[in-house]
Amino acid sequence: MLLGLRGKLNPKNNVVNNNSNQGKENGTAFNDVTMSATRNQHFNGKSRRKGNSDTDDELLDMMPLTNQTTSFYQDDSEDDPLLGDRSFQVRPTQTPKSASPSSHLIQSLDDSIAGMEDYGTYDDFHTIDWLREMSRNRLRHRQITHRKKESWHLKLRALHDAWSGWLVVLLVGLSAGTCAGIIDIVTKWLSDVKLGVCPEKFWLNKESCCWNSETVTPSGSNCTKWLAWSDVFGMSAQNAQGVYAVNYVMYIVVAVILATFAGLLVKVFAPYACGSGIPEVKTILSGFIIRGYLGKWTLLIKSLAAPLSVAANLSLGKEGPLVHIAACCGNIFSYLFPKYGKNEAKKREVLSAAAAAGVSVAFGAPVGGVLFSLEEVSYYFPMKTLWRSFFCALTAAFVLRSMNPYGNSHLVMFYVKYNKPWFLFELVPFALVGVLGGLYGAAFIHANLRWCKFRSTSKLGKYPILEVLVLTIITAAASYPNPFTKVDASAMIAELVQECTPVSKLTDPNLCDYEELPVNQTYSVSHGHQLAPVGEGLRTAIWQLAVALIFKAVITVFTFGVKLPTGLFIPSMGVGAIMGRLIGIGMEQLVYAYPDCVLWASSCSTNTIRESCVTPGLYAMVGAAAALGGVTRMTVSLVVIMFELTGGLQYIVPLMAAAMFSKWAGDAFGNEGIYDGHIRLNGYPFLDNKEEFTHTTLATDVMMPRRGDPPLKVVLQENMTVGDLEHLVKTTTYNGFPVITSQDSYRLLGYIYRRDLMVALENARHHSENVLSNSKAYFTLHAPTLSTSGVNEPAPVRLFNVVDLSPITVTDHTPMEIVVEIFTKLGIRQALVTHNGRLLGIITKKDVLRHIARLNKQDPDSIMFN
Amino acid sequence: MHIAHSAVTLALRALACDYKFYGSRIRLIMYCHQLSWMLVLLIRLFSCVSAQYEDVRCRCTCLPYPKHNYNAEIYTKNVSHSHCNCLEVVLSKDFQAKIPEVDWEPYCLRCECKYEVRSTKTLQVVVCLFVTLIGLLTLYMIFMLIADPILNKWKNKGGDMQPLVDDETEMSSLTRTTNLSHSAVEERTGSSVFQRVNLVQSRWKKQVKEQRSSVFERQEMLQ
Repeated sequence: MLLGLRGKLNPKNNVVNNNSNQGKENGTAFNDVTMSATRNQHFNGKSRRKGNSDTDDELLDMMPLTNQTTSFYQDDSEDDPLLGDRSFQVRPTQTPKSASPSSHLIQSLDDSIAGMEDYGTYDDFHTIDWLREMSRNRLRHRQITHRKKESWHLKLRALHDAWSGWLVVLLVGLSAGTCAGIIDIVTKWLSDVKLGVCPEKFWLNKESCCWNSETVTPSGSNCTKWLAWSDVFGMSAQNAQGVYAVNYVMYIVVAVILATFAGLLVKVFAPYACGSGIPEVKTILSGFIIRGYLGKWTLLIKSLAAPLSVAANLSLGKEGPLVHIAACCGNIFSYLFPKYGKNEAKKREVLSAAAAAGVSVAFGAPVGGVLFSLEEVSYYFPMKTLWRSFFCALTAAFVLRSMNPYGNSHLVMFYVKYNKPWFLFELVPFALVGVLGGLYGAAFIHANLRWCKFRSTSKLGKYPILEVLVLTIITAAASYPNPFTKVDASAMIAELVQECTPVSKLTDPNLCDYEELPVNQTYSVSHGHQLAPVGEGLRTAIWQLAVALIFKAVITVFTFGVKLPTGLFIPSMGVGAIMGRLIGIGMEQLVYAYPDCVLWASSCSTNTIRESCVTPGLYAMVGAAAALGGVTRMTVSLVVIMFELTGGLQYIVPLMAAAMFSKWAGDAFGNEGIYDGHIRLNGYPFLDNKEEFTHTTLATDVMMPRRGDPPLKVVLQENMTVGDLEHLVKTTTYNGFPVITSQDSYRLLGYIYRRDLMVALENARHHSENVLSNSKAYFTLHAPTLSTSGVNEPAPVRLFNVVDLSPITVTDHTPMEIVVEIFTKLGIRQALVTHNGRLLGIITKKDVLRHIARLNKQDPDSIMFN
Repeated sequence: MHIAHSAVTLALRALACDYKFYGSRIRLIMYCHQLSWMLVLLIRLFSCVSAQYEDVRCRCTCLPYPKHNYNAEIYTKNVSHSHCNCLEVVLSKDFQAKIPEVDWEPYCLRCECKYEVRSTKTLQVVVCLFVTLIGLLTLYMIFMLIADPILNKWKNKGGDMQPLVDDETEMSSLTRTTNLSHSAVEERTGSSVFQRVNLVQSRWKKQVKEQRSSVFERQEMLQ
């Protein structure tokens, strides 16, 4: 089905003969009449004013509403309930009534409410028409507010409608928080299963297993309740090499098992659960339909496979997938409320809030989540959505906090306790870290996109599970010997951002091993770390860090994009944190070696026993921000996420500096972040509203049909039979057809959506026996009645109401920059091109995207799902 | 779990008291009491909390103390938040005997105490849930891999029509779905649950197949 659709759906929708005829005289007939941006034409009258003022008349030179058309409309809305029983029996045209228009409208709305439910929405891989969806919603809203005075029941319904926006985000927040809590707990447990097991209670991780062992050494070696795999197999501790080998092998074996499970789950149950999900969520939020991408199975499998793949020690994170998981929750809960479930534009408001909740729980950064949704993912983000996102992120964070997955009463793993000041001279190394992070980001994006392209075009793509297995074996085998890569990447980052205190010297002996300087006897835990030369342990740690840096930086390129849930935040932050820590240690030693340098002589006191004025942990934090900024090109949300993540409020300026330098350095080598890169690689129809269109082409250069193409498939106002229309629908796959007055004039009357036409024809046949294939179809306001056309003749069908009478039109000489603006700002799906009122062609969103791709010297055919 | 447990007992007790108040149906009271005790027992069994794994701890990390040749140690004790300090956790009775009182304070200066809370029950429930889900899905996966081809073969032999045929035009599929929903409404009483489940399952399978072909075979998405 999908294959078929893809092959067939060419947006070369339509065309025009060179027929001419200006048809100016009837301008009011189609210009003033407004957009029937609803599927249901009963709403035409209601949406009229709004639609008109919203769209067309600013862009296209439209005439004001006249009295004539108003009465026209009352008529129409009243006596033409399309889906009602009598709808297709043409009745005598009526004289305009003087009754108040609103009551008529309400009545017709009443009749049609059942029919509205039946309307299908969009097909898979189609782009939505924001304008149409929004005005559908406004209509629905107006209907509810109008009717709420009628009875207490309707009043309750109105109330429910009003608060359902908050209710749905509350539910989304609760579910996203729960999912995140479960994932965090399971990940921690599974990661420890690689190392050993808690025989008494298998569900406890190592820390919980040793929860109450009194008086242990800091390295935790004498916790007897936790058994390493070598203990489980009964190896004696004397045989050190054997123990190491058994643990090593078990580490790899468990990792492989976990990864296999994850790969199989994804392949068998929900292929859409693979990848980070953020590029797709971003595309969906921009108005694209991917059916099943935010479904129940995707949610379930992604939630299960994400901990499995993280615990398999692959270089990937669960933070990106959490955004996808939260978006799935958003989608699922929006179906509880027809207001959101049945309206794609409104649903995207919930999804925006859900994305915020996703980041909120991924990092324990509620405000950062909201900003992330605003900066990175969302396409349409009004104030209302901002508040809802805020509330959603808050709820999610609250739930996660009450589950307390880290056992440290903080939402986050990377909480820093230190409160050391930073000095002005350090902005130079911070900037350096930022630049390096940006360069890494640019290199990573380039390499990863290349590799992903290679994967999809070569035979490698045919063996997704095998690829996962090979990667897992390589990663696990290379990770185990190095203490920094042996643990979870997030545990490593948590370790790297800490400062060296006497206590931390006990827990990570290597990283904080500086040479002992003579100290006074009464020092305590609260004393800071002293400026001292690198000790033996630290020297080893530096080597290990350097190796880990190279390994992580390389392996992440190959890992991001395998067919598992793969997040990118944690691996990038890991690379950045290692880099930052190394630079921090270097800086510290520089200060130690040259204490009198002008830069820091005044900042760092020159006593004999000096407290270090450089905190390598801070550099690790800054480095993590820089690398993540380089890869994703976030700025504001990144900084907020980072300081929420670490709790280091006073380090905002270093983080900002690093994020900025990182973005500059990265943008020098290509403007797009990794998510935009993947959107382009996959050819998703994403029209970026942040980019400017700078070329000087005209609408006529872009519109379909091109010269030499077959003419546009159009629908005539009269003179077409039901059979013709059904044939047209069957033989083409276009999403809509322009309606013109006649073959000679080619004057544009409106636009009819394929689905509307199909449903209308279906209904016509369903409701009346007399509607046959040779029934005439009329798209005019006044159609002949049954009596005038004879008794035994097939009944004429009036389809005026399904026509969108106010399609967005541009003239053939409209510059493309304006057309692109119209497309991005209004979120329309297609615009018709006219010349003197004569239909020339059509521009769809995908035509615009293809045009932009061509101008950017990319392959225009790569745009997905024509 | 705790909450659920106490809620159940309370509810049952309340029920029982209610009846007692009216002075009738003594058997019912007995029954309620029994039931509540059984439930309590069941929950107790299920939650299997042991004193060893209490959910709070105070953890003091102490630096080495060269004066008395003490190595670095971590002391852990189950105490409440207000008692989480060096004096109550580290300097327990046997310890106090070891070093003179003068050195207590210098030693405590070398200790850092942290109060930590966790919930073993959450851990247990979550991990068990996860393992169960993975187990179920694995079983289902195996079932689909082994049983489905056999079932399909059998079905095809029986000349059954596949409920979902791929090559349909959009138009006919639309009519079909509307017809289908009509007939579903009509047959709601008549058709067995099994059939409906089957229908949903086959629809889902078709979806997954499409997803698989677009993600894995044609490499169009999620590259």
